[in-house]
Amino acid sequence: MSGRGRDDPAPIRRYHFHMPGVMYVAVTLFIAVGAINGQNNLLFAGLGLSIGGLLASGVISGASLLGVRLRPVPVGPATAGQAYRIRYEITNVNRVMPVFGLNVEEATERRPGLATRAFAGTRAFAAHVGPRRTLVVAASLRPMVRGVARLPAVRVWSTFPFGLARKSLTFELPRSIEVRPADLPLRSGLVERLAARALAGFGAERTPGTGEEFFGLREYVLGDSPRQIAWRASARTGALVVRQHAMPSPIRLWVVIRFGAAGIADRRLSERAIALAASLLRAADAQGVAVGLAVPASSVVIPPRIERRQLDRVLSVLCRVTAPPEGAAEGFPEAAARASQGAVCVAVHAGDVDRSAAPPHARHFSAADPASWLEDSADARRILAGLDAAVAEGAA
Amino acid sequence: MNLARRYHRAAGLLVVLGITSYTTAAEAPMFALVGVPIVLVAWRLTRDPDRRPHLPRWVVNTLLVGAILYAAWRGATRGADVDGVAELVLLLQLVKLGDRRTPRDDAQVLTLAVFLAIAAVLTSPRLWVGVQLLVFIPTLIWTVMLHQLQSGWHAASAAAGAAGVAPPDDERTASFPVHLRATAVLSLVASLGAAVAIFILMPRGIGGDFFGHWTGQQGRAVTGFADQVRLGAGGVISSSSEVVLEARGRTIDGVPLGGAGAIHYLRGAVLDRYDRGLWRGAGGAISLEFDDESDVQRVRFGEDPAAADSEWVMTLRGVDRGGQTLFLPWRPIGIEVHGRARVSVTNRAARTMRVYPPGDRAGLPMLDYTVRCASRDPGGTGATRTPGVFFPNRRIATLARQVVEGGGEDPDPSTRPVDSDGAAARVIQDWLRMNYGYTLVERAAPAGVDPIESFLFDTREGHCEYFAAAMTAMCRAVGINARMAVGYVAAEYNPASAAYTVRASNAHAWVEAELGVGRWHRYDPTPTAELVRLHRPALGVWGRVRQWLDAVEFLWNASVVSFDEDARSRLLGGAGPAGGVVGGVERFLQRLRAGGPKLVRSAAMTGGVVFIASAGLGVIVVALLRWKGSARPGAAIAAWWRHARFGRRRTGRADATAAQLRFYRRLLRVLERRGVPKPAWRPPLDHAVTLASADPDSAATVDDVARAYYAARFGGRTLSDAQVAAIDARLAELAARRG
Repeated sequence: MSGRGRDDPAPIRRYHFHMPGVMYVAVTLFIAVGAINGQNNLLFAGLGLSIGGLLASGVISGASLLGVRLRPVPVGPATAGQAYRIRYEITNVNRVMPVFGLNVEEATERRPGLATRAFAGTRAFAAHVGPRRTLVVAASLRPMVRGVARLPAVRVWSTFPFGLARKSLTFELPRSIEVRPADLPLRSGLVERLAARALAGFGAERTPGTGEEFFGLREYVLGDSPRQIAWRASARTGALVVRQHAMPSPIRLWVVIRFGAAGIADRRLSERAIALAASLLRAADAQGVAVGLAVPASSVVIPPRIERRQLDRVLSVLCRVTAPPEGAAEGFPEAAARASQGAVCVAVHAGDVDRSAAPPHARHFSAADPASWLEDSADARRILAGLDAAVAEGAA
Repeated sequence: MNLARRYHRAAGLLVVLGITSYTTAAEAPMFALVGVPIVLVAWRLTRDPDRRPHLPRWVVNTLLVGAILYAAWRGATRGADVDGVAELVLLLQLVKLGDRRTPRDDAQVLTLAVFLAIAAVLTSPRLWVGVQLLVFIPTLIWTVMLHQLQSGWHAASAAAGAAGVAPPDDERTASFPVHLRATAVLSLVASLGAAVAIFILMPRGIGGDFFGHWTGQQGRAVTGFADQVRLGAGGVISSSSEVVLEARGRTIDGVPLGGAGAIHYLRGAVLDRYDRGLWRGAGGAISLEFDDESDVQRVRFGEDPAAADSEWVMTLRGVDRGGQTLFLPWRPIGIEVHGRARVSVTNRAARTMRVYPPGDRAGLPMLDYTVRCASRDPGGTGATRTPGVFFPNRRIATLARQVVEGGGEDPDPSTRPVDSDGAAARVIQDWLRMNYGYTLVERAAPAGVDPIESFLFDTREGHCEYFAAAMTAMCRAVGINARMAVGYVAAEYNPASAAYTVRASNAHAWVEAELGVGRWHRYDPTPTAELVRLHRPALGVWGRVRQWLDAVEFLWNASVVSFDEDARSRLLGGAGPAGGVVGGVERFLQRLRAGGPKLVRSAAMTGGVVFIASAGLGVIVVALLRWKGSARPGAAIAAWWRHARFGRRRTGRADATAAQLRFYRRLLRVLERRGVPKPAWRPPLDHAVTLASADPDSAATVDDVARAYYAARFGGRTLSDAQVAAIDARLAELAARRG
């Protein structure tokens, strides 16, 4: 991007006096009084210098900031508990004046949500952007709580050259960034053991593949193996045809989240449950398992599928899931129950395990009992404690 | 050099300059000797911002309390003044050096350095303070700018650190230092421009001492002169080379007076009363002669102004509240003191006077006055002498008579003609010069013995005061009215300022003898060789340097320190309708009005020709710069130099190489746009390795382009057009791909 387009809103310019500026004015007044009182010519020169400094500061910073344009570089979603970089492309359209000391920060709402708060304190810094140059700067942060961060504007400010006033430009660029649930380290082999419970190759996909199930016949094309030729059918039709096999059905994993009374009462447990579910889904997806999600309290049912964006879809949904009001129905959906035939089903409970909330073959985990699913390491415990602390702090 | 190191050095220099400025102004070298090494050591220890050691909090707090208690004690015992505050600031700064944890602490250290500089200005307006401040100001601007960048970077790193992630990369482009320097120069020029404007435009003389005296002396009198002499107590003897005044003389026809080797005597006081080793003036009531309404004070001594045959313009360095003696060549007829000073004639007969600052000023930094002098004797009663002159010491009187008699003159005033008084005085002068030695060593006379008698009969050596006192006594002993004159000899002619520079060490005493009533003539019994040796200006390189420094100091004092309402009015045209800037503009407008359309046409034509010529020259320069393949004048000049030095063949190759290597600059620009700029300090191949994980697309291109660059730039190979085109294509492809 080389500049502000015709339809882009102009940034809002502000001058903020802060403590150094107030001190500077006080010292200038002191010099003025000293010069007049003592008729001291060096003090008169000093007074001129300090007023000159004030003017030079205003002119230089004002002129250089006039040419600043900003565009957030599109970035992917963040993950709670992991470092995240938010990038901005700064362009100085000024033909002569370079820009120095640019601080870039997100201008959040006055009372931001939990996920947005992590973005409120971020700061990217560009020491220098030459005239007619573009630079990409990054701010680093570590969001701890999942959700959707709503970022209405980006503020660029500078105190360069003398730090007397803070000059800012606010670019109204409303965006939202997903902060996906934390990726908790799971016990070693947990997902593999779960997958082993599934009936591998149960059923077949409706696409040709390399499975054992018969899919259909098609005309022979040069390069087909002669062993695939269906001779009887060829004799019947008078043309060479080959057999096609169906794609074997992948292992499917259903993750069901049940908040229960404890989860509704204790947000810490419900967040743990969501993070556990997300971690299971990620680990399973990494092993080629088709993942699906059901959150009965939020009427979320996403059947397992082998698709490139399936994991994105379920994690995106998990960003937005909220604990239901007390007394909400959390029964396993009928459709999901039917679809879960031959699939691995894992029920994640925020509180105590309620086996009636999932199919009989389901495996149950409780967020309140991390020993059964969390990796037995100090790092894992630290990550979980960090998540708990962030949730508790946010709730407070 | 990275930003942190740049900032660290600049800030260290600023702190040292703050301390030395103040210690120079306060003439307290001890503070510099203690403070500067502490600063240097502290700066050395804290040069690494990531591992900066600092004192424990309790130590810092204890030291701060100690500094404040010291300041309170000092204020209680010696009173609150600028020096007390400055000492407190200095102590706080030294303590703060051990407590630099954040940019905020650094800002406090810089602020304290600025306070010290202000204290220096409040303490003294001397040239060396001004010189240090002239270095301090650009350093301050540079340091503050670096501090802004440094603190911004620190805040971004701190924000990342709070999130438990690595700080963002501190990548800057090669143009960063150039742009930063240019911005600093721009800031400096703008600030200085405003400073000069305000310095000139601010009215002076309003509100002086409204809040009492809390600044240092602006008009510190410098003199080795004393208006009374106690023999054996030092008197006018001074070895200080500090300048007391400048004197420019010319004849009434405008011919300059003075030059190397020519000596002039400037009288300050006349001492005609002697009592047991103490010479003093007649004293009497001080008559103040001044006019509050006038900017020029005039004093006349009743002689015809037409008798004047020379004029001296004197510039006195500083007049403090206690007043200052005016030094005048003999024989002054009329004096004009410029500015709002108060003039007091202390002895109308001897034509001596003092000057005081106006009532609302604690002192004057400089004072200009003009003296018109006559060298010929006044007419009148030359045939008679003042009666009843004698010296009461019998031994001295006997010696004087013997000396005069030995010189062939009649020692008895009753029988000696008045016309022979001059010859008798000269006999005494020459006898003293021939028979007595010169020494600056003071020897007190034995108890009960007159110091002059001791000099003449026992020690037989002394300095100018002894010689002058002895001659005065001997002249009086033979009936010649004589008196001691004290002041300065102007012997150091400064070609740089076309004036005599008179220093404290030029203080001198000599004799004035009355050869007929009212006809005073100067005699100097000090051995001539010694007089010349003592007051000879320093020779060699150092002497020249000192003369130039004196000229600069004079200029500083005349144009900055003593800039007042009068100077301001003169500059801006307030002194008259045709003076100053305003007068100049007015004259121009008058000419314009008088000349009418013809003049306007002529001016427009001239302006147009000048504009076209300037624009054409600019176009040629730009075209030449482009032709040389570089936008930088330095590179173009270097190319021309190569052309002149090595001839066309080599220059042609260099130009071809430069043209080929344009792709490298393009690569740098592309990388900058992609957000992965190459730092100036990192070689391109290293940069490619760094990019391998973050930006593989760029890494491969950078690697290939860098190898081609190395081959052409350092390997002496010439790239074919196809190779250059291929590189350009790759760069275009990289630029098109979004990072």
